[in-house]
Amino acid sequence: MYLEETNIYADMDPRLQRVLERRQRGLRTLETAATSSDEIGVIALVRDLQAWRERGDVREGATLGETGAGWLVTARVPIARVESIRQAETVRSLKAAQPLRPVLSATVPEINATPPQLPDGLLTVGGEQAVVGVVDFGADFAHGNFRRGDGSTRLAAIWDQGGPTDPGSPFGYGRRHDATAIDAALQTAEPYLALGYGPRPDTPTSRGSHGTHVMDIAAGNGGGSGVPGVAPRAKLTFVEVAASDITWEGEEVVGSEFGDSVQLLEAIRFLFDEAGTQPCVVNVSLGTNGGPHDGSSLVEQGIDLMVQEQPGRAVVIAASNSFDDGIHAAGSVPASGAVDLGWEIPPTVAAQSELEVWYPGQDRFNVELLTPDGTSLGSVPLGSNGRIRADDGTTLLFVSHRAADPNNGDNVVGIFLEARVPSGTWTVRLHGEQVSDGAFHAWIERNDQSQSAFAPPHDNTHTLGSISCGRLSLVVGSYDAHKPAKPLSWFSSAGPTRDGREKPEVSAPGHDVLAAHSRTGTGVTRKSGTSMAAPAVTGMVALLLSEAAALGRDLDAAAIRRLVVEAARSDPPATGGWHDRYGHGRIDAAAALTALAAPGPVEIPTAEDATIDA
Amino acid sequence: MPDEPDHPSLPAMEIQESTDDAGGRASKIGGPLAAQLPEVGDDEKLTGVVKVTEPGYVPEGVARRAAISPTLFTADLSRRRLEALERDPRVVSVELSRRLGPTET
Repeated sequence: MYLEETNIYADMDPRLQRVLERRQRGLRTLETAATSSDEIGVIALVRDLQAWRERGDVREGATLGETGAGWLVTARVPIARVESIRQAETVRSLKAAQPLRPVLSATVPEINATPPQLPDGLLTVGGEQAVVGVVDFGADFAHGNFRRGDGSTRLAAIWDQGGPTDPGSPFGYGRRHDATAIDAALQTAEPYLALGYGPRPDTPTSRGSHGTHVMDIAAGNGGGSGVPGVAPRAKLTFVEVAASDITWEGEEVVGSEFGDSVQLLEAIRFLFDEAGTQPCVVNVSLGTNGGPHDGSSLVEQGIDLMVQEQPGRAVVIAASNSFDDGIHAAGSVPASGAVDLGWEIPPTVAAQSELEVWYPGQDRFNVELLTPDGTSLGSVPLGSNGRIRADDGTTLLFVSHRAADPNNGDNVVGIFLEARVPSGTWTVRLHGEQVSDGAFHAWIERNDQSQSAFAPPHDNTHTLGSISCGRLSLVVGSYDAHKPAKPLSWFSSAGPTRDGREKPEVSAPGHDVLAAHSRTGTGVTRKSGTSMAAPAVTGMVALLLSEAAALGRDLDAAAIRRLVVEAARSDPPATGGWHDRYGHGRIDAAAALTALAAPGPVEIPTAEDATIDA
Repeated sequence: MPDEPDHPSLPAMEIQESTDDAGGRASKIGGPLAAQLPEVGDDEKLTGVVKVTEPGYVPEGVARRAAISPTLFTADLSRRRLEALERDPRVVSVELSRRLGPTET
């Protein structure tokens, strides 16, 4: 081994030197979306902007702004011209563009989960004794991040709920693909075709499947992209949620990437059954806006029941992305008085708009609905329905006012406006007929095509998703780990629950996360959402469960939750309590593993850790 | 000349009043779709989560899909069966499906 002198300018940006050195050796750079293989992206500081632009060897990019020393610009330049450009009179500085850090480098180190950051003396590596189950859309089993070194799959099973039914279908529908079938498909030139399952191809508006990205954050091994996720040795299982079959909800739901709560419960049941006695954490990066928001829905009760069936189980759920959508309102209706809620229906609304109001069962409201021009359409008493039909007999507007929901005893108003009703600000007027409490909360259901909202000012508290208010689930908010201040993601929903419990429990990086890009084998793509924050916690829980198994310790759902919460970091959020969006803080895998290894009872329940009656 | 309105003016709502003194019978059928049941035909297939009082109990006419716990299961049922479930003392509640989508911005 020896050092060889080159004739490349030693005072040049080291990345440029490296590019030129490679070129001298006859190596070509890779073509990217913005740069051909004989070009390189550069950032330059130039004295004369016009002179820079007039150069024939500069493909102009962005002008970033003027500094005291000149103009800061980006450009693509031929590699063969780099030396010449660098020496031009107008160029003060020329640097190669830095590659985007592959992938999860802003997640895994941020949560203190890289091997050097983890405590010494761990008995397991990378969550190897735990199972990570993912309920989502589009698992790219061919991506290198989900394959072993020998090319075989890490996935023990995929249940494609929308696949063809056969005698072995879980719960009588869809198709279960086991590792043998997946490996056989991977031996072919067309693995998705061979298996009869795969992520959708990219479209102009959608790059990479959601489920592949989520699974990589939690447990990718970096075999394709080069950078592993949080629990790179965990065992994997995946459920592809079938598109919603609620046919009578309208065509905007059927065939879209919307599953439903029944399929979700069955997916979690499947994943825990597949794991058997192995420790298992399930990630759910799904949700909508409506619901009682007190953990009483049967889907939330079901999740709570399944995680407490045996130790070593957890379900991690995204908080939701509705903080800035104006979808929540709250207030108090006085006895013999009224409160108005403005409901803004956009002119381009393309689907049904839906609003729910929840209020205590001991109260009785009367619900009046007024059109944007102020015309009252009438009032709907408790226990009644109101409806307006079009000339063809179809329903234009429907109001339901139900007494005593069977799961929590509260009253609930549901208002459904078809797209054909006038746009503008509708008024929902809540009249207090019999009031002992008067408090109410209202939510507007998610509509990705044309979201309606309450009239401002908005109350963005209580914007957690429809399944994110259970008692034993771990709910996760999102922040931006790329910035030193670790600011909250603008979209990350806020707690608490309607019954005042502190959710989300914690927060994790979910902003501009680069993770596995489906159908590329090795590529990555950028996505944002609490969907991307939840799997960081899922991976961390897999590390905990794996280590606990090796230590011979049984962690129940409450103990897992407490380890994650008590290890969370502040600053941000401010020290000393729960924050309605960061939760108890930013997760810290190393601290949680250290706490697990420390002697002392972590299984002691608290009043917050309610047991759910089966 | 003023623009023609895009939408015709709406008539007053038809109100289907409650028939009992309590101001509305408490229903065991929940979930957002429950509010739209008047729009659903008797033979429409529904899916939901059913909670019962007795472990293992499955009401007649209800097809259990997956057991979530001894007293909680997912099920297929028809609109027509809901009346019977309302009257069944061993049925605590039925929650019809709620749609769920990815939480990506």
